[in-house]
Amino acid sequence: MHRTSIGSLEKGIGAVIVLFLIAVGGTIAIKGQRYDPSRYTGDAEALEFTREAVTGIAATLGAEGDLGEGSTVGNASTSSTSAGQILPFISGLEAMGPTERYNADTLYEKINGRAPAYLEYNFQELTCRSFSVSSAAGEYIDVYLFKMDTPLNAFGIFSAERDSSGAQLEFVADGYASEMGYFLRQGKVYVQTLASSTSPVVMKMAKSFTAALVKALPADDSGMEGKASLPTENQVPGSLLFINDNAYGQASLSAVFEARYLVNGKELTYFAKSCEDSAGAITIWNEIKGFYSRYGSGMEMQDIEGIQVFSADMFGQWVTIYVKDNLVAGIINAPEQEAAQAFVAGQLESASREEDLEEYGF
Amino acid sequence: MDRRQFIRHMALTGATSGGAILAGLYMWQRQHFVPGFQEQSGISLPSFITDKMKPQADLGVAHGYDRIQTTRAAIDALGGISRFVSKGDVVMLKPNVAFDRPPALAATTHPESLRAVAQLVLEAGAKKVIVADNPINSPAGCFLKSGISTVADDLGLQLMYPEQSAFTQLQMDGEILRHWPLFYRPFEKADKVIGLAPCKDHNLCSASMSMKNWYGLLGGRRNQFHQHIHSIISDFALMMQPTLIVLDGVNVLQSNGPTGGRLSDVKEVGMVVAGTDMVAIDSYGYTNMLGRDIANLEYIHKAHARGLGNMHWQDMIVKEVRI
Repeated sequence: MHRTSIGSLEKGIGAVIVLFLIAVGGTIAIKGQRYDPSRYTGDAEALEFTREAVTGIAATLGAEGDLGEGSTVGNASTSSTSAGQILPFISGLEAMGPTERYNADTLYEKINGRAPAYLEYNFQELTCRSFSVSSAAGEYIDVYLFKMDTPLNAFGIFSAERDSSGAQLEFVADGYASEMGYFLRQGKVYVQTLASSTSPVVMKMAKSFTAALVKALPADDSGMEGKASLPTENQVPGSLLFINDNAYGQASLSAVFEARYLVNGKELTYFAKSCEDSAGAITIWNEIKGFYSRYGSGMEMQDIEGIQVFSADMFGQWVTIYVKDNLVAGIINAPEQEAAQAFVAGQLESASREEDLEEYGF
Repeated sequence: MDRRQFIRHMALTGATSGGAILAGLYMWQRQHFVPGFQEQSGISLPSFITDKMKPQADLGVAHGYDRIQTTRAAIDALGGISRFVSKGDVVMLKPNVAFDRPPALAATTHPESLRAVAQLVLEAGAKKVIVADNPINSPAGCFLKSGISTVADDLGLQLMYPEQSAFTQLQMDGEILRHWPLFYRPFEKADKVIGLAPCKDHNLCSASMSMKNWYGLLGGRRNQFHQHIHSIISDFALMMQPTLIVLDGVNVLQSNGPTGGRLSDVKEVGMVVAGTDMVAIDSYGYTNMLGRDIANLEYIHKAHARGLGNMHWQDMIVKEVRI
């Protein structure tokens, strides 16, 4: 059995479908006459990444309580995870937008090509926020808290970016004031407080904020012993550096502190590396000595205050190094052998005198 | 159904199918990219080089510390803005607004540099001036803190934000850059394109100047190009053929770039360079603004070797003026 006739309703529905298809086809034909690139917004997945690049700030917003273990910041309680927990409240500053957070994967969203410099020092997390200055229209401060994995690495990036002309801050040991901001290291955190201008009003607010922040962040100088072994006398201001890896092209020299000294009109670079034990220090000393013995010239060994001091010339620049207990230290890349040896001798004699004083109980 | 009806229905079905195939073939475009299709194709940017009048020099170099006057003088040294912009043009200006930093830190195009060029373009009779960039940070914050939005408001320029729908797939035969989302909307109606870049230190590629400035047009996870940064920067000289380039070296971020953060990172150099050859301009800027040895700037050598410009600006006509 089959139908021999088609009802008018079915014919009507069929006609509507055919007309609809013709309309769709016609629309495609008309629209297709002109290629409009903006109509086709490209690979949807790739554009999702674009959206994240702009709004990734919100995606990385999170709790602020883990900047420093046990930190109590501002007037917030430790149990709170609000923005006020880490960033202190200062009268006269008004928050602009949310607190932003970035991790090692998203840091480039904030500082782009600068990110690798921070990643070299084992960057963990960036917390940042902007505040407008109520008493100065259009002025603001930006606060950046770069948390690294150790105080050493926080000092490393702080010293790598240091403004040698900056003035020492009175409320923190590793900190300076620049013309448009404040920079410091407190515990594992490298802090930058940037002002929108050099206006005294804005700089004063930035300083108040920075000082409050220092109180809020936990102090931690663990692993910084090598820094204490660098003499302070004749040290060139702002020259103290931390090199986390491969110092002076020596693979064994990691976590090295360095400072420059001005002695009799000559600038010398002195470094110190604190090892876990004396055996480790001797191993490193032997490796460096071996390198210079192989590729350098003018090798010389001296005995100063019972300590073996090695000197060598490498393309006209002198190295004078020694090992004492768990410390490897010395002068690197000096223009003259005599100046390098005299500086090292001075350090060893000074250390010997201090030990004598301790021995006799003075 | 009798035999006659069957033949009629078959003929109708065949005609419909054949018509659909013919219509599809007629409308098919090889380069027509449709989202979701695996075929990687997209748009390429047209040349914005004007053949209106040949500039009087290859590079116009102005020495001075007043950014407005110095920028004007550099463009005047080429023969003036009228050689590049005509009455009724829609002009796109591409500053570097990558970061939400104040102008004094020299990490972004200085607002007075934008003001100088925008004023010249408007004086030349431009119908509309578009300012566009796809910043690393929040676009609104970057345009605001860099001072760019203030200038746009003052002069009635159109700020174009990188909304999602403003991106289109770029397709080109670059060394690295082949198929990537591009902030295309500003180009749709632009007759002329002018790049306004600051000269500054860069942690990864040594220097960010006029070629690197176009990086700001890319969408997506563009940081993945950092592994091949010299290749992609040289690709920009292939991707873009701008009408005019202005490289601002009045204040140069000499260290801790590209973000900086301290005034001590910034050096007052007092120089602006204008021209059309990005390779020559960047070569000049690297040598004379940053004071570095061009032998060490890999992307310049790559672009020069690929014939995308001439790094030997010493062999070109350089017109210098002092304010």
